[in-house]
Amino acid sequence: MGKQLQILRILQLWTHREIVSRYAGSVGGLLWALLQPLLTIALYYFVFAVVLKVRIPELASEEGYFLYLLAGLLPWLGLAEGLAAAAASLVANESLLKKVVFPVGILPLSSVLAALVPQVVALAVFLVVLAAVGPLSVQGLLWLPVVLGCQLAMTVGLGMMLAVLTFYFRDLQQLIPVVMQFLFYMAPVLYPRDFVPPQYQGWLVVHPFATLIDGYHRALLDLPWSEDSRLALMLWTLFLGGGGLIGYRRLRRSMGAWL
Amino acid sequence: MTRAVELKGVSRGYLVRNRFSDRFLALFGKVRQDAVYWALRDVSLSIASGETFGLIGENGAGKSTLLKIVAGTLRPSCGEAVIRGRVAALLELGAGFHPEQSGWDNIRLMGALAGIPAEDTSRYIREVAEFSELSDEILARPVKTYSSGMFMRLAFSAATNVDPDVLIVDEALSVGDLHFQKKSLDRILAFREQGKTVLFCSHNLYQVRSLCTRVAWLDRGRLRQVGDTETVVSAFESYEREKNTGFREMVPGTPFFRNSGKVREAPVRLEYVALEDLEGKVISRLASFQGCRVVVDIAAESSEAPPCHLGVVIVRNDRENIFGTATHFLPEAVPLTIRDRRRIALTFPSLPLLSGDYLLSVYVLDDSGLQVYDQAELVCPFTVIGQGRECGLVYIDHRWEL
Repeated sequence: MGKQLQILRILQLWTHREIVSRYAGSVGGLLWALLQPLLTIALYYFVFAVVLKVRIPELASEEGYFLYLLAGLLPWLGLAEGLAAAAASLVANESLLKKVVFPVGILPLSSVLAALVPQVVALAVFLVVLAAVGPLSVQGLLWLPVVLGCQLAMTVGLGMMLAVLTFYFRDLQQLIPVVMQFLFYMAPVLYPRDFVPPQYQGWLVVHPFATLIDGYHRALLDLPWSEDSRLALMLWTLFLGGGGLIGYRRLRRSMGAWL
Repeated sequence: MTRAVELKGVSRGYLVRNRFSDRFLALFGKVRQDAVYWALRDVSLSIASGETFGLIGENGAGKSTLLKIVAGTLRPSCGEAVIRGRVAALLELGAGFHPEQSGWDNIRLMGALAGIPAEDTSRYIREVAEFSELSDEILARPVKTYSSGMFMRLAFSAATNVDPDVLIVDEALSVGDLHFQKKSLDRILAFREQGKTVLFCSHNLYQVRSLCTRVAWLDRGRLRQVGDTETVVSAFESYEREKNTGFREMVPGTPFFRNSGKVREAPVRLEYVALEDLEGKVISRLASFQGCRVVVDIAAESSEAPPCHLGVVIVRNDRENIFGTATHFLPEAVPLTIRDRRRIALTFPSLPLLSGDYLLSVYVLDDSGLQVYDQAELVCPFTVIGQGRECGLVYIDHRWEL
């Protein structure tokens, strides 16, 4: 028990360091944690709502698209940021790992958490906005902790696995952003699900993050969530979360032994 | 006797080839032999708790790898390393520090990493701050604003205030200014006094001699010798000295025999040279101040062999002449007459040499002492083990007036 507490303490202190050191030395400081996603959101909003005039069938107004965009994009930013940081975490701290006795798993874990904290804060603010103007439903909200939990499990498992793999194959550092971008446009974040041609819609279940975004849309905007997508999310969570952790534990041992 | 550190057949290889297949195999803990550089090979070692154990060797012998394995930052590729108790490593001081964070934040994280339980954390932080002699105001600043001396003081304090069972020291004794150096050395000595295990690695053999009870010598990744400090350190020193000479292959304790194939055209010849103790036994090792004799057999070529003199030189294994004497140096020198074969002995009642490896050179000269008839240079290698803590080449009689 004492050992678990100790790990938690290190995790807390390390995550604190991650957050502080990322913005240290910049004039904006922690403000950037807010500013960066806001600018990204503004860009997408302008391109898709104003220029391309994308509308969501269930939320027909321009504000409706804005809410839809936020409901999908806020989690996505946390997810993408967390995975990228986790994958790079061991490589970035390689010299530390060789000099200090360190619970290795903390590094990807804290990367994921450090990315999740601003997302959760942003979601909380978003909920307030929704309560004021939007289609907030209590029934949908019950899904929020479940979906958040799924995201956490997925990103932790996958992030830890990617961290070890990247330690062996640095090439992944180049590959991961490209794959994430690919997955981003394949998921119904910027456009409604119905825009996908019907014959391809069924295929969206093979995209783990698409099912996750479906979940967020259900939880925050009370949009329909298909049975298939819900089941797929559970399976993906199990596979990426559990499988990632098992794979990580298996591969971690050889890491300190040959490299 | 409990063992604080136990290494069983520990090897550590580094993957040096970066082909995809090599890395892929390594992922599953398998390697091809030609893709690996072995930094440590099959090292078995046990260090009793309470021991101050030294580790010496040339650069690249695997000392750092071994220390890291004991510290737990590296895993052995093969074999097993068992370390009992909490380890504090003074390997690379300040390695876990973040320049942007304050001294306090860094100490807190170091304490958590060292496994300081939550209830002791505030005490730990206070002790580190106190020992480092940095003010609260300084500790609140990011450590990137510290001078390197201040940084090292903080790092040393954070690393040593964890009440370790095993302390690993890698040449970390020169930290900060003189005042702080003294403080850190005192702290390491205090650990020793408290019966903690200290693993000490240094190129400073004087410090190793002064601090350690036992020493291991690593040579190209393998354990070459383990034993009491004086024996191992002096063997290492001697090995270093004879680096570029051909003496390494010689077997100590072998007397010199005139090889029949190489008979010189000389009227008198050296037939046999040996180093014996005072009981007449051929020896290869002796302690300082032990008595010994150099025994030389000279043979005459014919019955009218000319008179001759005999010279004996003690040479250190870097070819430095230590002491030479000859029969014609005697006040009333009478040349030796050799009929057939004659045994001559030179006795050193108490040899004042300190630790080192030495050889003998023996010369047979004409009656003027100028022309060399025959010689046996650099033969009979022998080792002297010093008994006290004096350092250098020979013991010089002295008296302290205090």
